[in-house]
Amino acid sequence: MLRFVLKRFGFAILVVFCVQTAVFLITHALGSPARLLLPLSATNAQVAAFSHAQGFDRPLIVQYFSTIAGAAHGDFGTSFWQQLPAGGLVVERLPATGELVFLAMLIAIAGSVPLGVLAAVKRDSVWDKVAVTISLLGISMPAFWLGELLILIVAVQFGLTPTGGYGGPQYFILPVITLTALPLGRLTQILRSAMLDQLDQQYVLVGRSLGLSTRSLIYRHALKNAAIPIVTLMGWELGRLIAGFTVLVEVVFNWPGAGQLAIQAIQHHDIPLIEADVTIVATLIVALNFLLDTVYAALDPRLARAGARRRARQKLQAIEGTPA
Amino acid sequence: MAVTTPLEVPSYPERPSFQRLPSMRGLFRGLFSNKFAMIASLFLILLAIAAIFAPWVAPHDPNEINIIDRLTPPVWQQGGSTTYLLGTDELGRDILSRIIWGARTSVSIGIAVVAFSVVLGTATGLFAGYVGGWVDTVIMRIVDIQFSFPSLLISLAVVLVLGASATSVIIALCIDGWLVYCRLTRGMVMTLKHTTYIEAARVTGNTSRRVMLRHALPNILSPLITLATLEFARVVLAESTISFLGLGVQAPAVSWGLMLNNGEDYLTVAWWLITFPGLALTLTVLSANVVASWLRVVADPLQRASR
Repeated sequence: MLRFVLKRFGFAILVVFCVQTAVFLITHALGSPARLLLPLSATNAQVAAFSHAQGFDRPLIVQYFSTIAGAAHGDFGTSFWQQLPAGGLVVERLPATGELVFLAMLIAIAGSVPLGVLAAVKRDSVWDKVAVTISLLGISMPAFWLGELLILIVAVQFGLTPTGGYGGPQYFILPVITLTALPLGRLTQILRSAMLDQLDQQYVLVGRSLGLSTRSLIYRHALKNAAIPIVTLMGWELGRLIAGFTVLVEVVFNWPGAGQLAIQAIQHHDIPLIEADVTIVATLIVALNFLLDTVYAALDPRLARAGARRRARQKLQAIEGTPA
Repeated sequence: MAVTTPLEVPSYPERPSFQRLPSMRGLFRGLFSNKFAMIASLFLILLAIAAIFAPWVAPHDPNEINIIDRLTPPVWQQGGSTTYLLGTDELGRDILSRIIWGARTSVSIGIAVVAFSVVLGTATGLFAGYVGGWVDTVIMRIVDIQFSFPSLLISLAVVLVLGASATSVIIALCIDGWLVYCRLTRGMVMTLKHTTYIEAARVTGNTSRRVMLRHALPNILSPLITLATLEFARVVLAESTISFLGLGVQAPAVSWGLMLNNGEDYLTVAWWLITFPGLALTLTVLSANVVASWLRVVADPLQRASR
């Protein structure tokens, strides 16, 4: 168990380190940071002078180590755009993103569990069709388009909510709905498949013949067995939300979160801010996955054994149909 | 935590997920019995036709500006005109023609990224799975680590540095596109490796390369095709996302994401600017998803029986 936790911890650190290296290589080695930061009209002499002042003319390896060493102390340099420490700017924006993601995930879980179970139990019924439709739409609708449509209909046509910005509860309605669609769709789809698989199992038949009620069979036995792959997936879904979809929702609704900041940093060619944002977001996701892994291993010690974990992943693949 | 429970992991049906490709006739018969899948494939065919024949199909030049006709609503609304079936944008450009040309951008970027990723991912996956040992460990570690990356942000950074263009978008999306194929192929090759026919092929003196390409690869083709269809949907969506954020395809090229980006400023006066390109995008992604899930069921008779 301890071995497992240590291994996962080592992997988490490795991932953060690799993300940072990748961002450094993209911004420093693939392009010239001075060219990115200066206006297009800058002469070569101006570029050289600026490079020298900012230390971009030092050997790459030296710049790399100073970036990594700084980041390890939480120092990501000064944002060119805001003239403030980049790390602080990102941390300031995290609570707004957190609120959005937390609410969306909560609603997605609360909605997908009953919907998925109902669809599997009453296969081919109206409920099943509703669940399949919701999940397909949730997966296929681009978050930014759904957001624009909601603004168009709810905010502009009916004037029920603000079109964007951050504030009281009415500001939360549209962004949360937009962000919920995707995880709700995916979780419903997977829960339905997992429950269908479980209900086909022999133990359900045995339980029925022993006189167990349908209710207890579904909730105490089938759902519990289907839960482990589902819970793992919820963690990944959460990570995906933080890493990608929140960015779009924040841009569409002008939400002052870390995702919007990332886009602003990219638009301002603000390299220290880009590095800080990507690294901090990646660290959060990795920390989250590490925590979840540890919790599962504590709940189900079999998962700490490599073979069992591989089998669990294969099961998930068989259910989802694609490699997880 | 040394105490292990005597119970084994609850047994899932241990069915092999790789099957031979179904025959063409079986494929079409299945297609006709599934209305959704048929409509979805028809839509994808339509999309392909629009993409290939865009210059002939589109009623107008997508960049032709008619300031007098700017913000004309679609034909069925008051003020609409039959010249512009789906209306015009803020510069008087025809929406329908722009959607058709946008299909060309989406489909070509989608195919380019999927093709490159399939080749790279399958090759590394075959290699890792077949050779095993430290090669396998290294490749899979790279895949595992990259899977944990915030991929949208990394893609955006790549596009920023390479300069906004269709080529940069393709490069940025290929960087993490191959991972899924690698993982899928490797997993299946690991299982295949111990089957009798692969062992027989090896014992009879075939080279490793021949065993991999002629014996292992054809048997994992069907799930690969399903995955490629799914990935096509994801890539089209990702391209639109990057273009929507203003970092991808640039004018005069046309992209659905770019149209959604422009239309955002006219949300209060012209609903058709965002509605139609978004609809085209959603229908494309939806159709690819439906076709992929249908392919999965068709390729796996065991699943066909249960669903």
